Amino acid sequence: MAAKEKKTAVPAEGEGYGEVVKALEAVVQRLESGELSLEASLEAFEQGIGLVRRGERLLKDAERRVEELLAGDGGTKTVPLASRAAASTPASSDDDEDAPF
Amino acid sequence: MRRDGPGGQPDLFRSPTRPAAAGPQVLTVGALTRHVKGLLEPAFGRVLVRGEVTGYRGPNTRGHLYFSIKDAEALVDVKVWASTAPRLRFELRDGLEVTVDGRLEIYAPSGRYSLIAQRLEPSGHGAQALALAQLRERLEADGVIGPGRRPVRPLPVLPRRVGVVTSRTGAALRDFLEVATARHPGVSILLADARVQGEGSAQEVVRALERLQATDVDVIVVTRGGGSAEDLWTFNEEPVVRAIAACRVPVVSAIGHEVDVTLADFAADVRAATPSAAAERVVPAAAELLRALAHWRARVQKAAERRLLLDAGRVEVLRRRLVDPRRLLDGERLRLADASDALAQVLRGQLREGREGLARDAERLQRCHPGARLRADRAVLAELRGRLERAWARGALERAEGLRAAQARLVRRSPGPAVAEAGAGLSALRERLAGAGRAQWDGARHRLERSVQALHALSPLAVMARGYAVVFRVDGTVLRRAEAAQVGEALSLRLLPPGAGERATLADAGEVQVTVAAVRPAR
Repeated sequence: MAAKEKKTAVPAEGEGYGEVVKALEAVVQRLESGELSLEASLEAFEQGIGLVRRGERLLKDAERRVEELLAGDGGTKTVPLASRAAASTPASSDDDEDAPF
Repeated sequence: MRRDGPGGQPDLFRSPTRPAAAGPQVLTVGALTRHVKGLLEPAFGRVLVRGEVTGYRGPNTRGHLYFSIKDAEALVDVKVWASTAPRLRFELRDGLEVTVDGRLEIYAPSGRYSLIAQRLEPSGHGAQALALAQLRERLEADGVIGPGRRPVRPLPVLPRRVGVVTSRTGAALRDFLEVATARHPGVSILLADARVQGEGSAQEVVRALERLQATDVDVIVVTRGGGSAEDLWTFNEEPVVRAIAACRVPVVSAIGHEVDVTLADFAADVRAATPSAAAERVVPAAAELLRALAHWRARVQKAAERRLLLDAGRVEVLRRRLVDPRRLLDGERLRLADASDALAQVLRGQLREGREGLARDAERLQRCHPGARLRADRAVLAELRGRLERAWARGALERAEGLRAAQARLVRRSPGPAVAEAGAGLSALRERLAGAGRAQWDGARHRLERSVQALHALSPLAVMARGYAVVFRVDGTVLRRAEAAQVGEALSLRLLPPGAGERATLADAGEVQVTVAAVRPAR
């Protein structure tokens, strides 16, 4: 029983969607086992709803960033892809002119 | 063209530049060769010649390849310039049948002709097929692809950021972005631009992979649109395949169309048929995930509700079983009263019994007490004395009456002398009588005293008062025999102070605690 009452570890804030869903799955399984005390199931319920909200946040609040990684020594500088592509398309001298792909 | 000399004979000394039409002429070697070269090279132009490689010794110091191809009849030299050599996609070796695609060249200094190869393909195979087979063997031996490769990694459920290696201007990127954004409008994508065909493209793809791994992307898509086998060749290049295999994050390859398979596909974690398919594999449909989350939420709620209902059911059952606490209390109170009555009765009975027992014990104790014995003996003594006195008094009375009667008889019967004599005898008798009574009293008193003393001597406390100790064991029993003692056993010696009174009790005794050091049994 003691093992069943063990709480599900909530993934850290930086963890991705996959971890959130994994934790959610564990919470639901615990909850559905029906072996939790009333107190523990209320806690699991809150945890589960919290994880669902977190998953929704990860999906809905995702800030669309489509960027290009600039070649350079650091290699981590980025620019928005659309503007860069638009700006460089007319003068794409270094690209294969006939690239059909 | 000069005219012929006289006699129509060929003039051997004419300028050798004259054509042979006028008869045999002497030509310089150079002129002949130039002439042949001028005739033959343009006449053949580009030729395709098939033959078996022989005399291949690898590139020379300048990187040119020299070898020959031959068949049953003839042999011809082949030259592959260093600028062309890197384009060979298979390893040359003697005995290999190849088709040389090139032009005929006459090399004046040696007077030999050869084929300058532009392209070289193994006959019966495509060059790429052979090269592919050879590279594939090598990569499999190194565990980069094939059964010995590292395990395939799962793709993130929802990528934080997708790295894409492809050409910035290609249709592949456009397709990928379109599908990815449609599936999840919030998806983040980081492009690392690389040429995906032609000289140097393999290096660019490798660099792009390296650069992306330095960022926070958690999956990388390597993609390009469809093209000829030649166009897709970059993704069969060894460095590209190795870089994909060594990538820190999962790699999805999507090269060309469905039918195109490159070695890169074997090194990747997931092979997608097209750029669009790659987007579908990498970017989950947000709507689907939201639906899944809603489903999870429902399950959480349902499970919690069920749990609550279960408890509510239990509560209801308990509530029905619950009686009014006051009623319960009354009942309990009655039971408590009954119990306390019964208890009191039992206690009273026990108390009475105890009291009676105590009284009996006290009485017995009282009887046993030396003082009591003494008092009892005194009472006996007093009674004896009373009886003695009464007996004495009665005896004296009787005797006095007898005396009086005798005196009367005497007085009646005989006169003076006899009376005097009788009087004298009488007083003597009286004295004796008194003496006898006294002696009897004294004897009784002495006997009593003796018995009291004996009694006193028998009392253990009196014995103790004489300086004897009583040895008690821990359990309160008296140690009577030496053998009964255990070595190491704690014993208590009880001693009465000398001259302790008659009424001393054990409580007045002092105590010495000792430990048995040795036991010597009585002989």
